[in-house]
Formats: sequence, structure tokens, C-alpha cells
Amino acid sequence: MANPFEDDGAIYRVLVNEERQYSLWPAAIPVPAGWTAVFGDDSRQACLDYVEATWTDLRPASLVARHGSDSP
Amino acid sequence: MSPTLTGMLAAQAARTPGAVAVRFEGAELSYAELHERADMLAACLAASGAGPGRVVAVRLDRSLELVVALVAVLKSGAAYLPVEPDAPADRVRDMLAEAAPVRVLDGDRVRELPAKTTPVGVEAAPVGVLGGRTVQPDPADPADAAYVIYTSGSTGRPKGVVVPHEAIVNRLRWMQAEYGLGPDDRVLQKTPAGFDVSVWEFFWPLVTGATLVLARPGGHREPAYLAQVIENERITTAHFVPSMLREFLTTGTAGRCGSLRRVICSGEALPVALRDRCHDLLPADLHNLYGPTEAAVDVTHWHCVPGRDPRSVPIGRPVWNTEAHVLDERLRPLPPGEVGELYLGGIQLARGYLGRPALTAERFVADPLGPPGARLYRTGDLANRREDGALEYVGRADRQVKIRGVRVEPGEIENVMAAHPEVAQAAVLMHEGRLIGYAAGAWREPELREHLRSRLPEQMVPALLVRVADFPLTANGKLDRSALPPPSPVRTGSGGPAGDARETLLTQVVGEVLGLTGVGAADGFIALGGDSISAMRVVGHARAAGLRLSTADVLAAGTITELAARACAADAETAGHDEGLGEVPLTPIMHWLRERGGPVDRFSQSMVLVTPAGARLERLTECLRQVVGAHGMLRLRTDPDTWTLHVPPPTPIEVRRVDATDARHPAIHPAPDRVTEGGHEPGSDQRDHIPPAALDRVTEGGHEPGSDQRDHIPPAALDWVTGGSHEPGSDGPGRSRLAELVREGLREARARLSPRDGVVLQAIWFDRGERQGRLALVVHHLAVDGVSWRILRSDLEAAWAGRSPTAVPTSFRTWSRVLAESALSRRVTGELDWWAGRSPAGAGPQPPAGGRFTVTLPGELGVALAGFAPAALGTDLHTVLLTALALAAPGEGLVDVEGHGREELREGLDLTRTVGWFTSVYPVRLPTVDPSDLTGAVAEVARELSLLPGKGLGYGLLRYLDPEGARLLGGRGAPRLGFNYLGRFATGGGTDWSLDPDHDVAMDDAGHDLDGGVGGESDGGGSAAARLPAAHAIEVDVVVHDRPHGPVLSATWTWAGSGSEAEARALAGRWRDMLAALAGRAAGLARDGRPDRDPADDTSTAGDRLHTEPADSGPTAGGRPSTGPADADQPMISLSRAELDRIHAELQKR
Repeated sequence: MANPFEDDGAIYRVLVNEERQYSLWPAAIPVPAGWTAVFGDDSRQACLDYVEATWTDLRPASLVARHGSDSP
Repeated sequence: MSPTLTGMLAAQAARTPGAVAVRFEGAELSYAELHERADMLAACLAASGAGPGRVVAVRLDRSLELVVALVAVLKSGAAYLPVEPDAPADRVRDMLAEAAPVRVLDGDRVRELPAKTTPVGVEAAPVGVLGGRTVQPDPADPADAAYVIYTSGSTGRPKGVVVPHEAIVNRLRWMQAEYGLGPDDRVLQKTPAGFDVSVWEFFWPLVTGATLVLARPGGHREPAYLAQVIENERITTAHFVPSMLREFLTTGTAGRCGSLRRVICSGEALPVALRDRCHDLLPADLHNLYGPTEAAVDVTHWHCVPGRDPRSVPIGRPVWNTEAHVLDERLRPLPPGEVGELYLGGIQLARGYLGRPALTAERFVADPLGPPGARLYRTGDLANRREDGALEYVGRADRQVKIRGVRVEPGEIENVMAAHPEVAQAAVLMHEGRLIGYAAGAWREPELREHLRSRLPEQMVPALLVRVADFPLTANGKLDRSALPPPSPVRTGSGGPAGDARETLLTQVVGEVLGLTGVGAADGFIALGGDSISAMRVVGHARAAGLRLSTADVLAAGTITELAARACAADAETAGHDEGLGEVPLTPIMHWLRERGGPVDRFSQSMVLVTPAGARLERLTECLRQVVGAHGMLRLRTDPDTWTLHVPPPTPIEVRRVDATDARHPAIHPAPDRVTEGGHEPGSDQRDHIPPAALDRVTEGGHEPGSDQRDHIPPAALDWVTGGSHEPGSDGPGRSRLAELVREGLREARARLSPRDGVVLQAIWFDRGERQGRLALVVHHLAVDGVSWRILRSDLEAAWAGRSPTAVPTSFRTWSRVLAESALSRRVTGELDWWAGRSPAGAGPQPPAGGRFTVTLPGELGVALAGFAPAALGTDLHTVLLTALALAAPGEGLVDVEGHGREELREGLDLTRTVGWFTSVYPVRLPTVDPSDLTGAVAEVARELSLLPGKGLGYGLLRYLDPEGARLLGGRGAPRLGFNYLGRFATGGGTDWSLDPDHDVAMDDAGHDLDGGVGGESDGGGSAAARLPAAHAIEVDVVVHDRPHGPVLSATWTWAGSGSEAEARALAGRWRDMLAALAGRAAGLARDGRPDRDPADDTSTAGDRLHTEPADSGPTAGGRPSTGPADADQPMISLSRAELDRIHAELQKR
């Protein structure tokens, strides 16, 4: 069974939620509630490269807000 | 807001501070102790920069320190990163480089540090207690990471899963609600900390007031050991990966694990047959859990009920606050029965992969079914939902495989293979449960295998390496894995013929287990496709055939020949070996000690041996480890309140090294740190370490005696040496600097003894570089007697020569059980009247005031007594010594006599190799004898001794172990006089492993510092209240040391309570006079030709003397009472033929 996230030939986009968490997303599937497309449509690799460059702090935004931005 | 794991741990510690939190090899920490230590360490970690959002790596073997370290990291606010101590160096380096921990808590460093710090109460603020090097940690947020655990990564390198507190808190709360641990539950911790199952093993008990019990390092791979630890530790809860459960259930002893209430399975599909077998063999509930590391260990659960689910065992339903969806390729839920990929949602999801945003974004994806903004983790697992909602695991959607429950990405292995310079291309497949590595290029198997082993965990190294010329490709040019040739279905070994019977047996066993033909002696188990599961089967098969091996042996041996060699050593070590683990019932002599009351911590004996020149600490430690491993009593642990004794499995041991290279020079008193240094090289390690003082706290729990609040007795209180006088010339001002150092070391070692903490042995090596050194051993008297020292000495010598200790056919534990049974036997109860008629009406234990002095008989007198005199008088030395006492103390009546106590109470008992305290004590009526008829006096005493039933053993058995005997004999006190003949010890000569002539074997029966006594110096006073009460008003201990210039007989006289120094000295003087008279009479008899044998026989050669009174191994903790003149030609000590042969051979070697 093909997985919608593993198709190198398909088109993807990059989503982000309020916690500033990113998700690869198949362009062919509707964007779920609470998520916004910030990159794409583009190739899988281009989307992943975008995430790699953009998402520098994996902590959820609410935690960062509670701690301040001093820690990684 | 949900709490943090740290908060849950602290709340539980506040609820049950005194309960046992964690046990390891018999040692334990209460909740308060655990948290106190962890608080200290956490404060130091915080001062080093640890805190929320930071990582602290923990690289420790399973131990109390490991648990303290994990709790401490959590308390510091940081996340812990477990690093397996045996992980390949490259992998560790990569992990540490990526995770950038602020500190690494490393095992080498922990062990190196001494343990002495100011105790700090739980309530005390840790700030500042370590001289400003501590900081009050910041608390973590529920969304902060609690731990980071690395798993195999498909793209070639492992990935660190970051799990927040709230995720694991949910998981633990659900588990407690579902399975409900109580205060009497004991959870076995056996999963290496690098795998996430360990997380609940560690913390579930610690947040619920139950007890965490740690398996020994490596123990998780030994099914027989696990069965034993479950039985001995009364484990109620244990986890097994199914493939391990299968091995465990086939040990044959699993059925004894009746304490198990619940068995938790996860990590692999649980086969129906295995589930049923588990139900058949164990009374425990069986639960099947499922979950990836990315979702806080487990997300679904299923209670296995016998007779249900005949087709397959479901993975069940989601845990709290968790969604599990089976979705199609457009992320739509599938109807029941249809197979799709399993996606997980909810609070247990990990944050993502440490430092890997792209990888995180492709695995943790937007959730189209849940609340806005929620994420799902796509597992890559295929599943279907049953009609009743339970999930069934079907397989993998990708190439990930599981090796014994551990996730393995073939892609990661392929990358490592391809990194080898001679490998052009690589592919890895799973075939029949084994990993097969395919590689093109000019590689050679040994190098490639080594390359893999140095970079990958053991379970990820392919079992078979196959050379391929060209990789098959698909139509569009990709590698076609399905077209790779399967490994030859019938593999055969090729390693040449087996050499001896052991090799033949092992080639057969390996062939049988691996399903191979033609296995030869030069074949390697791993190279043939063996893994750790099949290694367990080899161990089992070999054991059934009479060969003992460990799983580690099988995995480590390069060839069958090498394996046979290991089996050979293991064979000698353990065939017919009685390990004697577990509870040890108190023996009569132990009851006798208990009855005396008072502190017993330093009640010990010691021995100082000459060590070979140029010895190394590592080798000495290994030798001692083997010896301690063979003799369980050397690992004894006592409960001081209940007086229960327990022998745990072996643990690491430490030999303290003292630099004595310039000990000849009359020098200043040694700085304390020279005496206590561990002997490790200064760390050249570049890793960051936390301040030494912080780790002291950790060290304490495991290897060191509790040096603070657990040690109730002020050290000075027990070092009572009474300034007794000493004979001129017996020792004195000429003592070398080395002897002083050793004496100092012995004194300090005694002070460290703490049987309640399992510290019954202390070893100090006085390193003199290229000159012969000294090894000082101090052992608590509960664990040794005079005979034991001979065994230990010879075992150490053998270990140094590369021979493992031979089997101990009867353990002390077995012996103590036999004693308890025979106390109720008709033979022993039949002795009651006899003993009641000789029972003293005298005083009980004497107050521990008093003192002691040692009398060394003048040379000729000692030589006569230890030589020809006994035979000339037609008896043995023991009887001669007692006769002198009867003559010196007319009208005394009863005297307590100590015997070595090693009697063959039952057929099949073999005590020749057993280390323990066997001494028997029984009253003997000294007959009234006529000083003018010395030979008649000897005959009278000999006759009295010959009348003793059962060699005196029955007295103690009746008095302490038989209810009726206790009523009649108990509370009757003891005679005023005590007599103990310890036997002979060969000293001097200066050869390696001989007794150091400067230090007599110290049989410290009174609990005071005998060394000080021997040296005639005072150790400083002590409070009488803290001393062990004396058993007798006056006591004499006699020992013969065979020195190079001839035997030396010395007697140490001790007085206490109603005994006075004047009385003791007067008695000692008369006794010596009587010995002189007896020796004179003997000399006369010898001249007149009256004796039955030529007295010259007795002093001719060592070999001859062996048969009358063995010099070195003639075991006695107080010679056997003679059965009369007829016995004179017999060895004085009851020795087996084999023992005599062994001693003889040993003497020949010298």
C-alpha cells in the first residue's frame, strides 16, 4: 500500500500549526483544521529542505513562551 | 496542567520516605536515600548548566548509581540521554555530538571517586553545600523533555526521540490505573536504559511506592539468571520481549517464578503458542502492549485471557488520551477488518527527533481527524481493527525490521557497510529472522565484520555477509532487493575437524541450534549466523550435556575452539558448583554471636599475603573477583535488626591500591588520600564531568559502605585495643615502614566493614612497583573462619596462575540448611541429656572491658610442642594444649572449646572448598588431673574429648536451633574459660602468595583490633558501650605459625568482665609451665623409645608432617578434638583424600 507521505514523485506542501510545528503534507489531500500551508506546492525534497532551514526550534511555541527564548 | 515525572517522583518519596525504592544485588536505597542522593547530584548538575531544555547523558551500567543518576538528571530539569556503556565508540561519539549534553555521567568516573561527603538531609536546601558548586535546579515544564532515546534511522544514522514529561506521565498514570502496583510489588528492571521499555521499568515503581529491583548488568540476556533473580527477589512484575519470553520459559526453572503477578510483553508480535505456554507455566497475568518510542513507550494494550483469541493476540485498545487510527492512502479511516497503516495521536506523542526538523515533519504530521492543529505520528506499522475495536498488528509498511524487539532500519546498516573503503555497494535484508548483508567490492569478511561491530549495536550486525558481483536492478534502475539471492538454504560450516571431546560436543550443539551441518572447530558462532537468542539455546544445550557457558561466552568466542576453551574454564568453575545464593539461615555460632549482643560491624579476620613483584591492579582485581565470585559468603549482606543473612549474586569488587613504593623509608604518617585512593589513572578523558564531590554521593550507594548516617557507630568506638603488653622480641620497634602502612590499612579497612550494606570484604593492595607488594584482606567473621583463609589464599594463588577457582560442592547456605534440619534429627536430640549434664550454670556475656596480651613460647618449646611432643605423648597438639590448661586451672571444671565445625553431617556434603564461619563452640569438662602423672593427665583429657558426642556440634544445634534444647540449654551462660586452637599457618618464606611474616593471620574473635594487639600498640581508646561483649572471662587463642626457621607457637590471652589481667597472667604463666613440663616429659619419652613411632618422623619433611598435621591447609578454626591416642597417627584435622592430595601437590610446588 502506498503511503501518501513517501511518494518521491508526488507534490507536497509544508504546513505549520499554532505551536509552530511543521508538517510535510501531500498536496492532494485537504489541509486539516488548525494548520496553514506556508510552502509549496513543490517536490518532496524541496519541502523537506524548507523545513530543515526554517524550523530551528522544535519546542512547541507555548513552551518557548513560558521559558523565554534563552534555551534551545 | 499535568505534573512532571519529576513531580510524581518527589510526591511519592514524600509519601513513603522509608520504603525500599530500589534494590540491586542485595543493596538497597530507601525513597528518602534515593532522593537525597539525587538532590545532591541534581544541584551539582544544575551548577554545571543542566536545566530545562538541556540534555545530560548517562552512561552507566545497571546499578544503584544509574537510578540515582536518572532521577538526578530529571531533578535538574534536564532530559536524560541514556548511552549504553557497551555501545560502539563511533556511535556514542555521534550521539553525543548531536545531543550536545551539558554533562556525561560516566561509569569510569563514578567508580574512580572515593565516597566521603557531608550527609545532607532531604529537606536541606542543596544550595551551597558543596562549596558553591551547586545551584537550586529550575523545575521542568510538563512540555519539557524528560528523556531522549535514540532509535535506528532509515537514512543511515540513529535518531534521538525527544519525549516530554506530559507524555510519559500519561503513560505511567494509565499503567498504574490499569495494573495498580502496590507497596508490596517488586518490578524487575532488566531492559537496557537505551530502550524505552526501561522508562516504565524504572519509574512506574518509583512513582507508586513499589520497589524497583535491578538485574545485574548483562543479566537480561541470561534466562537462567533471570529466573533465579525473579525467584530470589520475589519479583511481581517483569517485562519480556516475546523472543526472550520464549527462552525464559524454556529454562526449566521459570516455573519457580510463582511470585510473578504480571508479565508485560511488547516489542514484537506475541505468538499465540507462546501466550498459551506462558499461561501454562506461570500464574501471572499476561499483557500484550504495543507502541513506538515516538509515543512514550506504549499506546495500546491487551489483557491475554486463556482460551480467548485463538487466531492471533491483538495489540488491543489505546491507552488514556491516545488515538490509534488505521488509515488508507488518503488518510481516511478504514472499516474493521481492512489493513491500513497505523497512525497515533494524543498526549503521548514525542516532540520529534532531536535536531532533525525535516525528519520530524515527515513522521509527525497534521492530524485530519483530531482537534485543530493536532499531530499524528505515522508508525509505518500495518494493522487492522477487529469488529470489537481491538487492533491487530499485521506487519511493516516499510523495511524496518525487529531484532529481538529492537527496531532496526536496514538502511542504517547499509550506510555503515557502504562506508567501508572496500565496499562498493551494500544492501541488507531480513531472511528467516536473521539479517543478511550483501556487499560488492574487494572486502574481506573479518575486516568488514569488525568495521560493523565497531559502529553498530550487536543486534544490528548482519548474521551473514554475502559477496555479490553485481546488484540486481529494477527496470527503472533501482536496486531490486527482491532479486537478491537468498543465502544458501543449507548452510554448512567449514571450519575443520574438532579436536577434543568438548569441541566435538560444541560443534554438534552449535550445528543443532543453528540448523547447520558440518560445523567445525574453526567456525565462528556469529559467522555461522548465530545471535544472542540462539546463543542462549547453545548455553542451554551445552548445560544439558554437562558443559557450562554463558551467553556472553558464546557471543564473544571467535571459534568453536575458543568457545571450548571458555567452556573448559567455566566447566571447572561451575560443574557441581553450589552457588549458595539467597537467604542463609543462622547457624549456631551466629546465634552465639547474636546472643552476645553489641555491635558486630568490625568483628572480622584478616590476612596479609605477599604479592608478586610488578603486579598490576587490574589483574589483582580480576583474581579477587574470581575468588569472590566463587565464594558467596564473601558477598554476604545482613539485616542488623532481624539478623537475616542473604547472599546476592556477584557484583563488581574493588581492590584499593596504596602506593608503597618507598615504604622502606621511615616516613611521615601517610596522607589519608594515599590510603584510600582507588588506584585509577587520572582521567585523561576529555568529556566534561561533574565535580567529584557530587558523584561521591552516587558512589556511596553501591560500592562503598554507607559512611554517613547509616553508620551508627563512631569509628573510634570500635577500634578498642587495650594496650595489652607484648612479649619482647615478638614484634616491636624494628617493624618496617611497610608493616606500619599495612597495619594502618587493615585498621581502616576494618572500619569500612558494614555487613548491612553487603560490605564484608575489603582488599588493599600495597603496591611496591618492581618489588613484591602486599595484599591485605579483611573479611567479616560472619563470612570466614580459619579454614576459609587457607582456601582463599590458595584460590588467589591459583587465580594469579590463570586457573579459575574450582567448584564449591557444598555452599555455606546448603550447609546452614542441613544444620537446621539435623538439629531436629533423633541423633542430635538424643544428645540433649548429655549436654544438659555439662551445661554451665555460669555467667552470660561479659562486659567488654579488659584487654589482651600475646605469649610466644620460647623457640625450643614451640618446636617441641609443634613437632614431636604430641606424638611422643600419644596424642595431638590440641589435647596437649588442653591438658596443660587442665593442669594450670585445677578445679575449673568446664571450658568452652572451639572446633572447626566442618563435620560431614550428611553424606554428600563436601566442605573442603566452602568459605564461611563453621566454628562450633561447646563445653568440655576438664578432668581433675594429677600433675605428678603427666602421661596420665594427657590420657584423662583425651578420654574426656573422646566422649564428646558428634564432635561437639550437637551442643550448638540443640541450644540454638532446637526448641526443647533451647529451653534446657539456653540462658545458661558460658564457662569462664574459653579455649581455641586455630591450627597451623605457613608464613614467611617470602614467596609470592605466602603469608606476610609481619602480619599473623588475625582471628579477631572479640571484635577488637587484633593487629594492634599483635603489635602491642594501642589504637586509641573507645567507649566500652560500643564494644562487642566478650564471651568468656578469660579466653586463650593458640596458633602455630610455621616460619622459615621453624614453628612458632603463640597464645593470645584475653580477659573481660569478671576476669582480670592478674588472673589471666597468672593462668598464662602456669599454662606455659605446664606445657614446658609436658614437652619435657615428651622429650623423655622420646629418648626412652616409649612412643609407638619414631619422633624424628614428625619433623622430617613437609610431606611427612602433612599426614600428622598439615601445615598450610590443615583446616581448623580450633583443632578437632582428638578421639584418643588411637587417633594419633591420623591427621589431626578431618580432611578428604582429595583435599590432602591437593595440599600435597601445593606443597610440592613451593
